[in-house]
Amino acid sequence: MRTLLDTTNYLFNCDYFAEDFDANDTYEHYDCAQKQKEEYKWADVYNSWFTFLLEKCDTPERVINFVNLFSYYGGQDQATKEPYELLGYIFYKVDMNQYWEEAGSLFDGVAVTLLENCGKINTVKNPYYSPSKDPELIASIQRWGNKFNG
Amino acid sequence: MGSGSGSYTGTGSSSQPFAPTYHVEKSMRQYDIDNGTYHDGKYDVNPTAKPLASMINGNYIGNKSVNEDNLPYVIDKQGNIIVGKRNGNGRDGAPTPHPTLIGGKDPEVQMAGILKIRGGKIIFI
Repeated sequence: MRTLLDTTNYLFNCDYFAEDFDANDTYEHYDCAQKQKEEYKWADVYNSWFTFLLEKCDTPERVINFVNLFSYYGGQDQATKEPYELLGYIFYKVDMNQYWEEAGSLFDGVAVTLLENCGKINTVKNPYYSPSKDPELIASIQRWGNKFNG
Repeated sequence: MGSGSGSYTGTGSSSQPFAPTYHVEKSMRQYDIDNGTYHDGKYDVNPTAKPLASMINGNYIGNKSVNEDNLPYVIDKQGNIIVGKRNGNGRDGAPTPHPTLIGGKDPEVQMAGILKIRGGKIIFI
Protein backbone atom coordinates (compact mmCIF):
# COMPACT_ATOMS: atom_id res chain seq x y z
CA MET A 1 0.00 0.00 0.00
CA ARG A 2 1.33 3.40 -0.95
CA THR A 3 2.13 5.88 1.75
CA LEU A 4 0.65 9.38 1.76
CA LEU A 5 3.97 10.72 0.49
CA ASP A 6 4.30 8.10 -2.24
CA THR A 7 0.86 8.93 -3.55
CA THR A 8 1.52 12.66 -3.47
CA ASN A 9 4.72 12.16 -5.45
CA TYR A 10 2.81 10.04 -7.98
CA LEU A 11 0.11 12.68 -8.30
CA PHE A 12 2.41 15.66 -8.72
CA ASN A 13 5.60 14.26 -10.29
CA CYS A 14 3.98 14.43 -13.71
CA ASP A 15 3.38 16.82 -16.55
CA TYR A 16 -0.26 17.87 -16.57
CA PHE A 17 0.02 18.79 -20.23
CA ALA A 18 1.64 15.53 -21.35
CA GLU A 19 -0.33 13.81 -24.08
CA ASP A 20 -0.64 10.61 -22.09
CA PHE A 21 -1.67 12.23 -18.79
CA ASP A 22 -5.14 10.84 -17.97
CA ALA A 23 -5.81 10.73 -21.71
CA ASN A 24 -8.74 9.27 -23.65
CA ASP A 25 -11.17 9.47 -20.75
CA THR A 26 -8.93 7.47 -18.44
CA TYR A 27 -8.64 8.97 -14.99
CA GLU A 28 -5.80 7.13 -13.28
CA HIS A 29 -4.30 10.16 -11.57
CA TYR A 30 -7.67 11.74 -10.82
CA ASP A 31 -9.04 8.53 -9.29
CA CYS A 32 -5.86 8.11 -7.28
CA ALA A 33 -6.26 11.62 -5.85
CA GLN A 34 -9.84 10.98 -4.84
CA LYS A 35 -8.80 7.70 -3.19
CA GLN A 36 -6.05 9.49 -1.27
CA LYS A 37 -8.60 12.02 -0.03
CA GLU A 38 -10.80 9.16 1.16
CA GLU A 39 -8.00 7.27 2.90
CA TYR A 40 -6.43 10.19 4.76
CA LYS A 41 -7.68 13.25 6.61
CA TRP A 42 -7.96 16.23 4.28
CA ALA A 43 -5.62 18.30 6.46
CA ASP A 44 -2.90 15.66 6.02
CA VAL A 45 -3.47 15.40 2.28
CA TYR A 46 -3.43 19.19 1.88
CA ASN A 47 -0.24 19.49 3.91
CA SER A 48 1.39 16.76 1.83
CA TRP A 49 0.44 18.50 -1.40
CA PHE A 50 1.57 21.89 -0.08
CA THR A 51 4.89 20.42 1.06
CA PHE A 52 5.43 19.04 -2.44
CA LEU A 53 4.78 22.51 -3.83
CA LEU A 54 7.28 24.11 -1.46
CA GLU A 55 10.00 21.49 -1.89
CA LYS A 56 9.73 20.53 -5.55
CA CYS A 57 8.25 23.50 -7.45
CA ASP A 58 10.95 26.10 -7.68
CA THR A 59 10.19 27.69 -11.04
CA PRO A 60 7.07 29.45 -12.32
CA GLU A 61 6.53 26.66 -14.85
CA ARG A 62 6.61 23.99 -12.16
CA VAL A 63 4.27 26.02 -9.95
CA ILE A 64 1.82 26.44 -12.84
CA ASN A 65 1.97 22.71 -13.50
CA PHE A 66 1.32 22.06 -9.81
CA VAL A 67 -1.66 24.42 -9.72
CA ASN A 68 -3.16 22.76 -12.78
CA LEU A 69 -2.85 19.37 -11.08
CA PHE A 70 -4.11 20.77 -7.78
CA SER A 71 -7.15 22.15 -9.57
CA TYR A 72 -7.74 18.97 -11.58
CA TYR A 73 -7.69 16.92 -8.38
CA GLY A 74 -10.06 19.36 -6.65
CA GLY A 75 -7.65 20.68 -4.03
CA GLN A 76 -9.64 23.90 -3.77
CA ASP A 77 -12.93 22.16 -3.04
CA GLN A 78 -12.39 21.69 0.68
CA ALA A 79 -11.67 24.26 3.35
CA THR A 80 -8.25 24.58 4.87
CA LYS A 81 -7.08 26.59 7.86
CA GLU A 82 -4.63 28.88 6.10
CA PRO A 83 -5.62 29.22 2.44
CA TYR A 84 -3.72 32.47 2.04
CA GLU A 85 -0.46 30.67 2.80
CA LEU A 86 -0.66 28.48 -0.30
CA LEU A 87 -2.21 31.19 -2.44
CA GLY A 88 0.41 33.71 -1.38
CA TYR A 89 3.15 31.27 -2.36
CA ILE A 90 1.84 30.53 -5.83
CA PHE A 91 1.22 34.21 -6.58
CA TYR A 92 4.67 35.04 -5.22
CA LYS A 93 6.40 32.45 -7.39
CA VAL A 94 4.52 33.26 -10.61
CA ASP A 95 4.74 36.86 -11.75
CA MET A 96 1.38 37.62 -13.31
CA ASN A 97 2.91 40.46 -15.30
CA GLN A 98 4.64 37.74 -17.30
CA TYR A 99 2.35 34.72 -16.93
CA TRP A 100 -1.16 36.21 -16.99
CA GLU A 101 -2.10 34.75 -20.38
CA GLU A 102 -0.89 31.31 -19.39
CA ALA A 103 -2.07 31.11 -15.80
CA GLY A 104 -4.11 34.18 -14.78
CA SER A 105 -7.51 32.62 -15.17
CA LEU A 106 -6.35 29.36 -13.57
CA PHE A 107 -4.94 31.09 -10.49
CA ASP A 108 -7.95 33.38 -10.22
CA GLY A 109 -10.30 30.41 -10.34
CA VAL A 110 -8.41 28.36 -7.75
CA ALA A 111 -8.13 31.37 -5.43
CA VAL A 112 -11.81 32.28 -5.64
CA THR A 113 -13.04 28.71 -5.14
CA LEU A 114 -10.66 27.98 -2.26
CA LEU A 115 -11.37 31.24 -0.45
CA GLU A 116 -15.13 30.81 -0.86
CA ASN A 117 -14.94 27.29 0.55
CA CYS A 118 -12.92 28.64 3.47
CA GLY A 119 -15.53 31.34 4.11
CA LYS A 120 -13.05 34.12 3.44
CA ILE A 121 -14.89 35.74 0.52
CA ASN A 122 -18.40 35.82 -0.91
CA THR A 123 -18.65 36.54 -4.63
CA VAL A 124 -22.42 36.90 -4.43
CA LYS A 125 -21.97 39.90 -2.16
CA ASN A 126 -18.82 41.00 -3.97
CA PRO A 127 -18.82 39.82 -7.60
CA TYR A 128 -15.91 42.15 -8.28
CA TYR A 129 -13.58 40.32 -5.90
CA SER A 130 -10.08 40.19 -7.35
CA PRO A 131 -7.20 38.22 -5.79
CA SER A 132 -4.79 40.91 -6.97
CA LYS A 133 -6.56 43.46 -4.76
CA ASP A 134 -7.08 41.20 -1.75
CA PRO A 135 -5.10 42.74 1.15
CA GLU A 136 -4.68 39.39 2.90
CA LEU A 137 -3.29 37.81 -0.24
CA ILE A 138 -1.02 40.77 -0.87
CA ALA A 139 0.27 40.48 2.69
CA SER A 140 0.91 36.75 2.24
CA ILE A 141 2.83 37.38 -0.98
CA GLN A 142 4.95 39.92 0.85
CA ARG A 143 5.64 37.48 3.68
CA TRP A 144 6.87 34.89 1.18
CA GLY A 145 9.01 37.54 -0.47
CA ASN A 146 10.54 38.50 2.88
CA LYS A 147 11.17 34.87 3.69
CA PHE A 148 13.03 34.17 0.46
CA ASN A 149 14.79 37.49 0.14
CA GLY A 150 15.75 37.84 3.79
CA MET B 1 -30.74 37.17 -6.66
CA GLY B 2 -33.80 37.73 -8.77
CA SER B 3 -35.73 34.50 -8.37
CA GLY B 4 -38.36 34.88 -11.06
CA SER B 5 -38.65 38.63 -10.53
CA GLY B 6 -37.12 39.33 -13.91
CA SER B 7 -34.01 40.94 -12.41
CA TYR B 8 -30.63 39.34 -11.75
CA THR B 9 -28.00 40.64 -9.44
CA GLY B 10 -25.02 38.33 -9.90
CA THR B 11 -24.91 34.67 -9.09
CA GLY B 12 -21.74 33.96 -7.12
CA SER B 13 -21.45 30.19 -7.00
CA SER B 14 -25.13 29.37 -7.59
CA SER B 15 -27.23 29.50 -10.72
CA GLN B 16 -30.32 31.64 -11.16
CA PRO B 17 -33.67 29.89 -10.95
CA PHE B 18 -35.20 29.64 -14.42
CA ALA B 19 -37.48 32.44 -15.56
CA PRO B 20 -38.55 33.51 -19.07
CA THR B 21 -35.94 36.30 -19.07
CA TYR B 22 -33.96 38.44 -16.65
CA HIS B 23 -32.71 42.00 -16.79
CA VAL B 24 -30.01 43.51 -14.61
CA GLU B 25 -31.44 44.84 -11.36
CA LYS B 26 -31.10 48.60 -10.86
CA SER B 27 -28.96 48.33 -7.75
CA MET B 28 -26.59 45.97 -9.53
CA ARG B 29 -26.42 48.26 -12.53
CA GLN B 30 -25.36 51.12 -10.28
CA TYR B 31 -22.71 48.83 -8.82
CA ASP B 32 -21.56 48.09 -12.37
CA ILE B 33 -21.49 51.81 -13.19
CA ASP B 34 -19.37 52.45 -10.13
CA ASN B 35 -16.97 49.67 -11.18
CA GLY B 36 -16.66 50.84 -14.77
CA THR B 37 -18.37 47.96 -16.53
CA TYR B 38 -21.47 49.99 -17.50
CA HIS B 39 -20.69 53.32 -19.13
CA ASP B 40 -21.93 55.52 -21.95
CA GLY B 41 -25.34 53.98 -21.45
CA LYS B 42 -24.34 50.37 -22.03
CA TYR B 43 -22.31 47.36 -20.99
CA ASP B 44 -19.21 46.56 -22.96
CA VAL B 45 -18.95 43.05 -24.35
CA ASN B 46 -16.51 40.69 -22.68
CA PRO B 47 -13.91 40.13 -25.42
CA THR B 48 -13.60 36.47 -24.39
CA ALA B 49 -17.38 35.82 -24.63
CA LYS B 50 -18.23 32.90 -26.92
CA PRO B 51 -20.83 30.15 -27.29
CA LEU B 52 -20.00 27.12 -25.16
CA ALA B 53 -20.92 25.01 -28.16
CA SER B 54 -17.95 26.44 -30.04
CA MET B 55 -15.61 25.03 -27.42
CA ILE B 56 -16.79 21.43 -27.74
CA ASN B 57 -13.93 19.31 -29.08
CA GLY B 58 -14.75 15.61 -29.13
CA ASN B 59 -15.26 14.58 -25.51
CA TYR B 60 -13.81 17.80 -24.11
CA ILE B 61 -14.54 21.45 -23.65
CA GLY B 62 -11.47 22.82 -25.39
CA ASN B 63 -9.08 20.00 -24.58
CA LYS B 64 -8.26 17.65 -21.71
CA SER B 65 -6.06 20.27 -20.05
CA VAL B 66 -8.67 23.01 -19.64
CA ASN B 67 -9.16 24.05 -16.01
CA GLU B 68 -11.54 26.98 -15.50
CA ASP B 69 -12.98 27.19 -12.03
CA ASN B 70 -15.12 30.31 -12.28
CA LEU B 71 -16.41 30.69 -15.78
CA PRO B 72 -19.47 32.97 -15.86
CA TYR B 73 -22.19 31.84 -18.26
CA VAL B 74 -25.55 33.08 -19.43
CA ILE B 75 -28.25 31.55 -21.58
CA ASP B 76 -29.31 34.17 -24.11
CA LYS B 77 -32.81 34.68 -25.47
CA GLN B 78 -32.07 32.28 -28.33
CA GLY B 79 -31.05 29.51 -25.92
CA ASN B 80 -27.31 29.73 -26.55
CA ILE B 81 -24.99 29.19 -23.59
CA ILE B 82 -22.47 32.03 -23.68
CA VAL B 83 -19.34 31.82 -21.53
CA GLY B 84 -16.42 34.15 -20.96
CA LYS B 85 -13.52 34.61 -18.61
CA ARG B 86 -14.12 36.40 -15.33
CA ASN B 87 -11.28 38.78 -16.20
CA GLY B 88 -12.06 39.09 -19.87
CA ASN B 89 -10.18 42.37 -20.22
CA GLY B 90 -7.01 40.94 -18.81
CA ARG B 91 -5.28 41.45 -15.52
CA ASP B 92 -5.58 45.22 -15.28
CA GLY B 93 -8.64 45.75 -17.46
CA ALA B 94 -12.20 46.52 -16.42
CA PRO B 95 -13.97 43.56 -14.81
CA THR B 96 -16.35 41.49 -16.93
CA PRO B 97 -19.33 40.33 -14.88
CA HIS B 98 -22.26 38.39 -16.35
CA PRO B 99 -24.01 41.28 -18.18
CA THR B 100 -20.91 41.78 -20.33
CA LEU B 101 -21.40 38.32 -21.82
CA ILE B 102 -24.24 39.92 -23.79
CA GLY B 103 -23.39 43.60 -23.56
CA GLY B 104 -25.48 46.53 -24.67
CA LYS B 105 -27.94 48.84 -22.96
CA ASP B 106 -30.16 46.27 -21.28
CA PRO B 107 -28.82 42.73 -21.62
CA GLU B 108 -31.53 40.13 -21.26
CA VAL B 109 -30.93 36.47 -20.47
CA GLN B 110 -32.88 33.34 -19.60
CA MET B 111 -30.42 32.18 -17.01
CA ALA B 112 -26.99 32.97 -15.54
CA GLY B 113 -24.49 31.15 -13.38
CA ILE B 114 -20.98 29.81 -12.99
CA LEU B 115 -19.36 26.85 -14.74
CA LYS B 116 -16.41 24.87 -13.47
CA ILE B 117 -14.36 22.97 -16.03
CA ARG B 118 -11.62 20.61 -14.95
CA GLY B 119 -9.63 18.34 -17.19
CA GLY B 120 -11.76 19.60 -20.07
CA LYS B 121 -15.02 18.38 -18.49
CA ILE B 122 -17.83 20.41 -16.96
CA ILE B 123 -17.92 19.34 -13.32
CA PHE B 124 -20.25 22.03 -11.93
CA ILE B 125 -22.98 24.26 -13.34
